[in-house]
Amino acid sequence: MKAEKASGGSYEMAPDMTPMIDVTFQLIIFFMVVSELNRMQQEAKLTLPVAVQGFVEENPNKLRLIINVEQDGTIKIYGQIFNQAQLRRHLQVQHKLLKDLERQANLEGAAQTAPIVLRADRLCKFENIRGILRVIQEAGFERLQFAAYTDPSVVPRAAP
Amino acid sequence: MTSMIDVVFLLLIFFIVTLQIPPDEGTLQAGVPKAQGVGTKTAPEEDPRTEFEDINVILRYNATQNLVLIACDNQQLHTFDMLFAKLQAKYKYNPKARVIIDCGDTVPYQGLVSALNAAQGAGYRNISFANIR
Repeated sequence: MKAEKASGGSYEMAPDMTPMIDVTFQLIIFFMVVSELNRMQQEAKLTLPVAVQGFVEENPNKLRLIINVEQDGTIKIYGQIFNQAQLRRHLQVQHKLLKDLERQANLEGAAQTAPIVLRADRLCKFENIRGILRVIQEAGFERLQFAAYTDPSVVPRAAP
Repeated sequence: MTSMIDVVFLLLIFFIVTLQIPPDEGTLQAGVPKAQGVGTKTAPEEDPRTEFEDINVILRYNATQNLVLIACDNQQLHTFDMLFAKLQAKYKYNPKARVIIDCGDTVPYQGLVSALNAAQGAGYRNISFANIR
């Protein structure tokens, strides 16, 4: 595109691309962060069970702790593999931190109401779950949530 | 400038295409029974279970994870729908009862969740597990 200069000559007019590039970069960063967060919190290998009564929380408790259990019983928290002893230690530390938080931040009942979310594969055997429930009990947590898909069409065959 | 915009758009398209929107995930609530002898100082008026009977649900699967037995208070049932109907019938008379689910070693997580789903669907809010020690 050419425009006339006041002095009589002409110069090239190019559209200002800066805002578009800014927005595009913002979008890229957004998608990168979202996909990374999803990967860290939830293990992609898991196929959850189906429960139509499952309650989808819009604002889940920020103090919740998610435990992923794969089909063979492998325990993962934030992508890191834990054995039973490590899980016990981890939960004890978490519970102590919550107790400290109760005292310092005046969050009455934080340790009692903070839920443990168990995300296990639908075919994971109860013998693998039992030990985790025992560890949760011993650490002093009282609220337990079992994660499940609420839409039966997600899993090809709902009940084994 | 044009080549940079090309690359940026390619990156954007890549991330949009590969982004997986996870299906809706809900949760079912259950209580963790307190460890025996570890600070269980529940006041009598805080423990409603003293006046309401427990409902026992038994789940058993065989080694190949096929359903073998569902029982509710010693009555054998064949499907989780029957368990739901049974629990719903009991709820009318005993709405504050505690449902205790007893799972065998080979019960898959889906079985446990289906039993929880039936209990919660019937209206029970106090659900717990047997033999986790």
